[in-house]
Parts: sequence; structure tokens; C-alpha cells
Amino acid sequence: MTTKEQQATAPGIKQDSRRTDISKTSLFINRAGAYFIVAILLVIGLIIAQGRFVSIDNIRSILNAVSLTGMACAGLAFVVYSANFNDMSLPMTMALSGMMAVQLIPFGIVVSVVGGIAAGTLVGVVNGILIGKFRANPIIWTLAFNMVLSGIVRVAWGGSQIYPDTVAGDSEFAQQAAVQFNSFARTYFFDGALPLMVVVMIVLFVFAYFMMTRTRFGNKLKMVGSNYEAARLSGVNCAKTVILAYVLCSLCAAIAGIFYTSMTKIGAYSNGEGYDFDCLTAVLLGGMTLAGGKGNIVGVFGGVLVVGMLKNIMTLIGISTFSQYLVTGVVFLIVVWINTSSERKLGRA
Amino acid sequence: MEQTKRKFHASMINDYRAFVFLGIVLIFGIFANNFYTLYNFTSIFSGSSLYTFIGLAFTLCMIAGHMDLSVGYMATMGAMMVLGMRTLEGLPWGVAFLVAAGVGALFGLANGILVAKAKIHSFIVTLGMQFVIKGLLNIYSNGAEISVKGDFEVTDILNSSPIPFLPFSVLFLFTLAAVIILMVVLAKTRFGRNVYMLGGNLETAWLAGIKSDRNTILIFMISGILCGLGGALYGVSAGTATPTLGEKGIAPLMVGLTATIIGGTDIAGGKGSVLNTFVSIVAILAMFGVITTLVGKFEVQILFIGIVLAFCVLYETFTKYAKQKTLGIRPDLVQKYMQESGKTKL
Amino acid sequence: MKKVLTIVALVLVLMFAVVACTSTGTEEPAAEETAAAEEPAAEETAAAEEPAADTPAEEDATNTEGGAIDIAAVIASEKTTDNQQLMPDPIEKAFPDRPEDPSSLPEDDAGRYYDMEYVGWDAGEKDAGIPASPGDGPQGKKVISIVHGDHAWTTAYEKGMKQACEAFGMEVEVWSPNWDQALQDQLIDQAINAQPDAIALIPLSAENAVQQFRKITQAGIAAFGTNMLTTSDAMPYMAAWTGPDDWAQMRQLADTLGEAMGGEGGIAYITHDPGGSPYYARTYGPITEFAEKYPDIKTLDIQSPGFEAAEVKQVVSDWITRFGDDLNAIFLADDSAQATGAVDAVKEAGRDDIMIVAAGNSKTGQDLVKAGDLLIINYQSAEGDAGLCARTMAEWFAGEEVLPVGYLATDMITSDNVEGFYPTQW
Repeated sequence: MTTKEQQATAPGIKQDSRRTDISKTSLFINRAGAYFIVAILLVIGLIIAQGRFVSIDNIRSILNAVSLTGMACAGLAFVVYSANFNDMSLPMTMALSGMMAVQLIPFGIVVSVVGGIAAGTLVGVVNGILIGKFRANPIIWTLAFNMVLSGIVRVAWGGSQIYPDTVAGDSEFAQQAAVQFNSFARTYFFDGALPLMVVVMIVLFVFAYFMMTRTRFGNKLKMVGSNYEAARLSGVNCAKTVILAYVLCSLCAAIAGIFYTSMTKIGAYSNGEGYDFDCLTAVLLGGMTLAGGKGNIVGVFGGVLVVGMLKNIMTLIGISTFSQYLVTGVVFLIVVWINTSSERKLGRA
Repeated sequence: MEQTKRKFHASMINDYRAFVFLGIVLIFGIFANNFYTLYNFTSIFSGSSLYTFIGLAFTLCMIAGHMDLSVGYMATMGAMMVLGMRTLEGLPWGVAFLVAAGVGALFGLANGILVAKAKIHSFIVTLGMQFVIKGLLNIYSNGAEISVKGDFEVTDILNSSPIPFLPFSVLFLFTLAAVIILMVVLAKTRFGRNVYMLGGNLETAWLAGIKSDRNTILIFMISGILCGLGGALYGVSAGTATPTLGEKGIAPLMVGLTATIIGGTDIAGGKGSVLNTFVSIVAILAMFGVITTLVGKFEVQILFIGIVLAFCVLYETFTKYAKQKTLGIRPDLVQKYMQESGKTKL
Repeated sequence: MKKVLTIVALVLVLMFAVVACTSTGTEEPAAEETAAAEEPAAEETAAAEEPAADTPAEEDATNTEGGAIDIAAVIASEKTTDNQQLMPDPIEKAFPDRPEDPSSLPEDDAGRYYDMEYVGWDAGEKDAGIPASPGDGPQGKKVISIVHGDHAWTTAYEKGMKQACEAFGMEVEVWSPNWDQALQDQLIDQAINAQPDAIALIPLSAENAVQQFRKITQAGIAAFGTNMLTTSDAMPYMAAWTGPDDWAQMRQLADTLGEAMGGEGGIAYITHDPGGSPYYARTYGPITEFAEKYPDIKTLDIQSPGFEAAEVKQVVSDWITRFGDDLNAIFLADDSAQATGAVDAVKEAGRDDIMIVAAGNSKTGQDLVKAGDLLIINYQSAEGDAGLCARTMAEWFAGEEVLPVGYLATDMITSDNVEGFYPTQW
């Protein structure tokens, strides 16, 4: 089988002996995607930790740990799907929405949350217009915008952290809002079995799934992501589609940013640092490719699960932080390699 | 005719925007105390060394149409390796430097093979390679820093200025040599032309008989060697290296990337200049110096480097947009302009 | 489109010019932007104004005696945001004999870390290149303080440094390389280029500090180390070092925790950034202390997830799953985001019996102590750290004898005395 494949890829061969049938293994790997890894990790987890691994406590802890990444990933998936690589302004979107929310706490909890989300979404609007309408390079523009935002936020708040209860001051109303704000990340349903953050993450994923598969926007996005020119020539409003993708991405990041801030109880410019590449890793693990138009939201959710379970299992085994980097990197490269090669074997890349 | 001449000037400014940027910074240097001193320029040039090596590697990959995100960690590895070999293993300096460059080449090879043979996007490969290198480095040194342990001989040589009245330290002369060598390689050799062709259009290059896989692997290896050497030189000149060297502050990767863009390298590949990248890096460092003296706030530094980068991106985007618009509405105007200005590419 | 771009370019140049013009003379530009942050500072300086305003006159009167009275008066009057002494007296430390070969000792033996814990005390002669004190007092001296990077802690440190230097009549500039080693090296070059009377430096790396302090001393400028410990090779090149005694504080924390645990149980550590001096002090400080005084307390695991609440929360949750009831206490290297994450994880699992101890002194940590979630944190004043450094510089300028290594006075914060440390510095 391998020799045949080698022959098929070698240039200058006279007889066309390329395979025309679809490899069952490749198809399976391609379909199962990240869930294949999830299953492997589940087995490893069961072997090393026996009963404890599938206990409610541990499952909740895994889900809770990935909920912030998950929220941002649900949005980032749209950007990756539209063949725009990555939203490098994700960290500052999270930081900005959190800091705005904290700053607006004296006006009540509703204003605070809405203001925070609006501030974060605004980043997406700017990104979307620049990239969708004027076709700026997505990576470089979002990176530049991230730096500008980072500078503005640092200058505006003088490089200091802000605390919800300090910002609230002495007013009873504002103090109550601050307490409510801090409790977002500490709300649980069913006797502590189901954290609010996990619920929000799942809601966002369901929403993203719905947007991607059940709406006109989702179909257009697949066309734009697969082949921009073809989509444009067939009458799709590409600019509008990409703008919406960025707005959705920033919206999800802003929600994640508010939960992040609520969790640490601190609004700081450093909130969300590193989320740009962390989220991209999860999205890519979930079977999406940078070429765009490939993969699906269910896969992305699997990718997020892999990130969480991998860390959980490594800590359970007692692997040191340093080796964890190495294992993460190697697993990431192998998964992406398997994914790419299966796509190629199926003739989709 | 006059119209054409004016346009020619506008595009010239854009082509040499790295120099224009440097010029603006130098003008503002007048307001900063003690900016125009020999000592200050020596420090700016020496400080640019690490960033230049990283910027060169990044530019090289970008001209060939790839992105190498692992440059920062490869430079860190070079610094850790040279000091580890020298201090921990007690090898002579020459061998230590060779090991640093060799390890860089090895990881470059790994990147290249994954990109060229396994056909994974370079952005993803190097993203994953970052984690791998980070893990290996931390395991190697147990997270601690490695230093020259009081053996300052080579450190002092690197930091000394051999030529009187010129602000060039030995470290900077090495850097300059690397810039010139890479410039010559890109402009005068077959390999250099291949790099541009691969970036311009991979398929055409392959059809033209260029061994694209082999060249891509070679490009990533050179990138690795540059980073390894640059990191090693920096590590020795500073006398120490930590595994977190490549990720703190405005990471060296970000400075290299920004300089590459300001230098006018096309992110899609096929166009770019190593010299412009180098000039941009010197300009960025000079700007840091001016801002530190004038304002003293890091916030403003990050704001300005962001604004400069954003400005370049916006300029490029909007001119492209305007041209496309013209192209869509009145294609004849564009052709006339191209004939008059003698340009073949918009 | 060209016009628009030209306008944008002009605006950019103008912005640069405005920044340049507003900031050449004074350090004011940040004032309006940081209005919210500096409000308490303004109050503070207003309160401190009175004695500070007196001092020039006083100094004139006692001119013959030098600045001695002046300095003492200033030291006594200045207060930090949390109403502690801004410039407390430095503390000397008793040090034992150095073991033969520290690196051959086991990991939980205090002697193994001798060179880190007692760094500076046996460094021997100061380098001959350190300039002699001018002996004419701190008034009008120009000082550049280079910090390690942007952080809320640094903002408090900067405030303390400015307040203290202003009180002494010294001019001060605070520069930050934002945690970038290469940038810090460049800032040092720039600082030397500016020819100040002294440079105060928080080195980013203990080893590289040798090179940095050597450079400053070779340029004929007095160098002062502050906050972060260096290797002993760097000590000869600085006029004095001041900062917190992390090791002693961690031992104190460990003692209190050991007592609370009843001398037995399992403990897990979340560390500072690996490699730096706080990493060793805040991990091996308690480990060696437990090994010596409470041998029945076992170390279960050591992890370095960084300073993000979500990551720490995950690690602690995983520990609770992995160790179950064996886990009795957690030792954190940071009482801010790390503490929030750990406390959340413990609460979520319903394991209120797990005791958590944290190093550091932030608002978050103090609030958690007040709420009873953290057992104990240590008081480590950021403003005081800067204040002590400024005081040492002022004393050195006045020609007084200064300690080669001066530790910052500290305290333990528990739920009993937490009220006394409000409002917090950061």
C-alpha cells in the first residue's frame, strides 16, 4: 500500500496508477478527528486514575478549566473557518472587555456587562471592516491592533490593576454590583455540579453550531473560507460575511474576558495573555485548517476537550510543568500531521 | 508626465519607508538629552544584534512565503546551548558556538521537513515547534539560567569597540557581517533567486525546475542557524541566558516580525529586503531609546511600535484597495499608468 | 485616499511631538492619565508635604552638621499608602558558616541553598571602582531607577520611589524594560549615558546582574541593587543592596503553617517563575524548613503553572483528585491570581480543610485573608522596598555608613491583624 502511494505521488510517471478509492482509515480519522484523541485520553485516564477520573468532581474540573478557552474558541472558529488564520487581538479583546466592565460597575451590573461586551465587540467590528472590506492581512493587522490597544489600555489606566470593589467605592448599589460581578465565575447549578462558566461555554458552542450549519451566514462563510474569489463571483457579500465572523469572534472573546476578570477579580491589561495561540491550538486540534472552510464546531469542541484532558492527565500522572510543554507540542504536531495527511489522502487539501 | 513623476516619488517613499522611519526617529533624537553620543549609538547598535538575527531569519522565511514563529525560541536555544556547552560541559568556545548553530540547524531541518514533506502549514508547524523547544530548554536547564560563571573574557571582547570614533562593537560587526552575507546570498546567488521565486509562486517555481522541497528545507535550516548564532552571540555578550528569553516583554519575535513588515516585505512572499528589515530594527531600537529618555514609560513604547506597524499595514491596505477599485472601474487608466511609469507590477 | 493617509501621518508626527514636548521638562504626562491610580498618592504627598516643606529651612539652619538631621526627619515622617513606615530601618541578618560543598547536599537541606540565602554577606571587598560618596547630602542629586517590568507591584514601587526621592529633594526617573532582558541591558546603557549620580536597579536575572552592575560601576556611577537578589559575584559592584528577605519570610510562613497542620500531613507547592531567586526562596525555603522542624510533613508535588487563576485552579483541582485526603495544605508563591485560583478550586471541591498559605502582599490576598480563605500571607511592602532603597541612597550621598545588605522589615498578616494593613498598596 505504501509503495503504491509513493508511486502515485512521484512526478513523471507514465501510467496513472493513482488510487481512486477512498481510504477507509483516512475517512474514519477525518470524521472522528479530535474525538479519536479524546477516546485515547479517556482510556489512559481510566487506567492511571481508575474511578477518580470519571468522577463528577474531575469531569467538572476539566470542563471548568477549559471553559474560558472554550468560549473564545467558539468564536475564533469562525475566523479560522473563513480562512483568516487567527485573531491575534484576542488577548486585548479579553482584557479590554474585562477592564471596561470593571470600570462601569458604579453604573450597575447590567451596564457593566453590556458595556464590557460592547467594548470587546467593537474590536471585532474594526478588525472586520479592515480585513473584510479593505482586505488587510489578517495576522499583521490584528497583531498591530493588539499592540495599539495594549498601549492605549496601559496608558489609559496608568499600568495599574483595577479591582471591582475598589472601583465601586462606597455606594451600596455599586458594591452590590461588584459582588455580583465577582460571583459570575463562582455560580454553580445542581449543588455545585455544574458551573455557570461551563453552561455559558456550551451555550456558545451550540450557538456557533447553529450559526455555522443552520443559517445562510454559515453557508456563505463556508464558501468564503473555501474559495474567496469563487464566493465573490457567485454574488456572496464577502465583506459582510467576514465582518460578521470577526464580530462573532470578538463577542465570544469579550464574554470570555468578562468571566476571566470575574474569576481573578482583577481588571488588568495582562488578562488573556497567551490566549491567541492557546485558542488557535485548540481550534486546530479540533480539525480545522488554516486553509479555511474545513472542520466543524463539534470538532472544535473536541479539540478544547483534548487540551483540558491532556493537562488533567499529565498533572494526575505527575509530569512536571516543563515536560508538559514538550508533550503538548509533540501531541499537537502529531495530531495536525495526521489530520493534514488524512485530508490529503481524501483529496480535500 | 508630471503626474507620473509625483506618483513615482510617493512610491519611492513607500519603498524606502524603513529609512524614512529611521530619519523621523533621528530627528526626534534632537529633543532627547544625550541622544547623539558615541556611547548611545554603540548601545543601540549592540542592542539591535539579537533582534537583527531574528529579523533576518524571519524575513528570509517570509520572502519564501512562510512564517517561522519559532525564531524566538530557537534564538533562546542558541543562547542556552552556547553557555551550557561552555559552562556546564567545559568545551572550548568555538565548539560551543558550533553546537549552538548546529542545534538551530537541526530544528530548522525538522521545521523544513514538516513544512515541505508533510505539507503542514508553516504557521502551524512552527507554532507546535515552539512548545517542543520550550519544553526541551526547560528540561535541559531545569528552568534555571545558565551564565558564563565569571568568565568574562569573550563577553568583554564582544562588547568592546575595536574601531576608534565609530560606534561599532565587535558584536555589532558580527551582526553587520551576517546582514551583508545574507544580502549578497539573496541578490547574487541562484539560491537567493530561488527563494524569491518560491515565495512569488510555488507552483511556477516548481514547474521552472526549482527543487522546491529541498530549497524550503534549506531556507528553514538557514533560519535556524541564524537564530542559533544570533542567540549564542547575545547570550555570551550578556553573560547569561534564561529559558524565558524569547517570550518576555515585546518578544524578540514580535520585534522581528514588526521590522520585517515595516521593511516592506510582502507577507504573501516573493518580495522583500534584508537590508530594510535591518534598518527598521535599528530604527525601532533608536525609537525605544528616544521614548525612554523623553517619557520613560513602557506603555508609550508599545503604543508607538503598534501605531507604526498599524500605519504601515493601513497604508499598504488602502493603496491596494484604491488600486483594486480603479482596476474594477477603469482598467484602462491603470494600464496607461503602468506604461508611463514603466512598472510591471502594481 | 492619499490625502487621508497624509493627514494620518501628520497626526502621528504631531502626537510624537506632543509627547516629546510635554515630557522633556517634567515627569508629569502620566499624571492626568493615571488620575484614578494616583489620587491616593496625591493625598499622601499632601499629608507628607508639611515636614518635607520644613526640611530645606531646617537644613539651612543645620548646614554645618550636613544632611543627617534632615534625613532622619524625613525618614520618620513619610508613610506608605497602608500607613506603614515608607523608609523603615534596614535589618541585619545573622548568618551561619558556609557548608563545604553546598551542591552535594540533598534537596531538602538548607545548606544546599546557602549561596542564595546568604548572598552578599560573604562577598568580600567592594570593588575599587565604586565612586566615593560625595558627602554633601541627597539634595539635588539625580537618580535613575530601572525596574524589572510592568506590573501592579511595580506601579506601587514606582510611587514609593518617587515619594521618597521627592522628600529627600532628589530627582528621580523610573524606567521599565517590561521583563525584557535585552531591553534592560539597553536601558542600563542609556542610564549610564544620562550620567546620573546613582542608578538603582532591579535586575531581571541574578547572573546577568554581575555584568550589569559591573558596567555601571566601571562607568563611575554608584550602583544600588534593590528588591531582587543577585549572585554573590555581583555584590562587589554595588554600593549597597536592599530588599525583602524572602528566605526568612518563607521560613516564618512555613513555621506558622507547620504549627497549624499539627506537624504532619501532605503539602503541595505552586512556584514562582522557575529559575529566579523567588522560585528557590518560595519553594525550597519552606521545604527545607519543614524538613528540619516538621519531618512528618511531606512534599506531594511541585508545579509551575504560572500566574493565571484558571491554570492554577486546574492544577489544584487535579491535585485534589489525585491526592484526595492526603493533601492538607498548599503553599503558593503569589497571593494574587494564584490565590484566587487555588481558593476557588478548594471551595468548589468542598475541601475547606485544606490550608492555603501565600507569599506576597496584594489586595486580593489581603481580602482573602480577611475572608478567612487564606491562612496567612506575609507583609512585603512594595512602596517600602523602594523607600528603603531611596533612604539608603540618601544616606550614602550624605556620606553615612550603609549596610552592604539591608533587609526590609516585614510582618505576617493573619485574620487578626489584617485590618491594620488597609488600604492596600496594589
